[in-house]
Amino acid sequence: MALSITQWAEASAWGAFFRESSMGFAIASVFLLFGLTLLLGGVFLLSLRLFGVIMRDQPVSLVAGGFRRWMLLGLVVALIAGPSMWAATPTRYYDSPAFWLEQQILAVAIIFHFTLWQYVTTHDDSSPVLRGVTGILALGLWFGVGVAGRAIGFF
Amino acid sequence: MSILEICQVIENSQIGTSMRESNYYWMLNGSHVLGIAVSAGAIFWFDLRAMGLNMRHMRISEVYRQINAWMVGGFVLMIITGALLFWARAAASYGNVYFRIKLFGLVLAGANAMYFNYFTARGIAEWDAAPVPPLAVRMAGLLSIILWGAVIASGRLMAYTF
Repeated sequence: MALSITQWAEASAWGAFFRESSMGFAIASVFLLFGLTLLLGGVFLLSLRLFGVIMRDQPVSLVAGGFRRWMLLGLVVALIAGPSMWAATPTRYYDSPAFWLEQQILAVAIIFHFTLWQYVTTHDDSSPVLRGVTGILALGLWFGVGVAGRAIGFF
Repeated sequence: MSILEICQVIENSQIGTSMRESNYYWMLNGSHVLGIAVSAGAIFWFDLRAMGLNMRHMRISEVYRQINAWMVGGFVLMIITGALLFWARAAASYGNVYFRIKLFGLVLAGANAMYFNYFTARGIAEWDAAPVPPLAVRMAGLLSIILWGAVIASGRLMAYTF
């Protein structure tokens, strides 16, 4: 199934646009980085709040509430730009171990983001242990996506 | 000796060559990107508060005090990893138009931050708690976001034009 999706993307007009346009791929990669900066910056600061390192006197839900729509914007931008880069030469990524590692971490990170992360950042009565574990998971998963994604260019 | 020749000496040095040819070069690259995400990300959140778009319930000075160390820490990581990446590709970077735009953007972002610290922030007592601060403060936040966006974009485009 993965191979047929890969072949479909390679043959699509979407893939052809980003493959043949001189700056399309590069601009998509700029937007991917913008999206990741919004998302990772927010994950980083909110995790520090979950650890009780910054903004201790502010309720978690209040701090997270201000971050949520911007982080969602970052995620949406990244999820449009990233697949557009992939569609340009999907068969190349099909053989990349770093690509598959990134996809697996990304899938777990998205599920985590809309379940445990969503719960802990909207409830102010979570235990310090749960907050700490959530912060560590968030940092590990999202920065893992970033590092594995960067490794695609090399592996 | 011209600047280009100095860059060539740096690039061809033993350290420059060994970094470029190392199997761990990508990790340096990845650390640079993560440094950007942490520092530019943290700066972005402060800029949003300065623009009156986020964390309006907190004093601006308090937001700054809480995240300043992390903005600086990420910035230092970004500068160290960026300098090492430059070491490995100094001559190629020197002639690259996006590298020059990036450096120019960094200088302007630094000038904007210093102007804000030494001039605009003098009157902070009057607008520290204001949900929406005066125009000069909001403009400093907007300019910071635009300049850091340009730094990130030109840094990414550099890689496609080596």
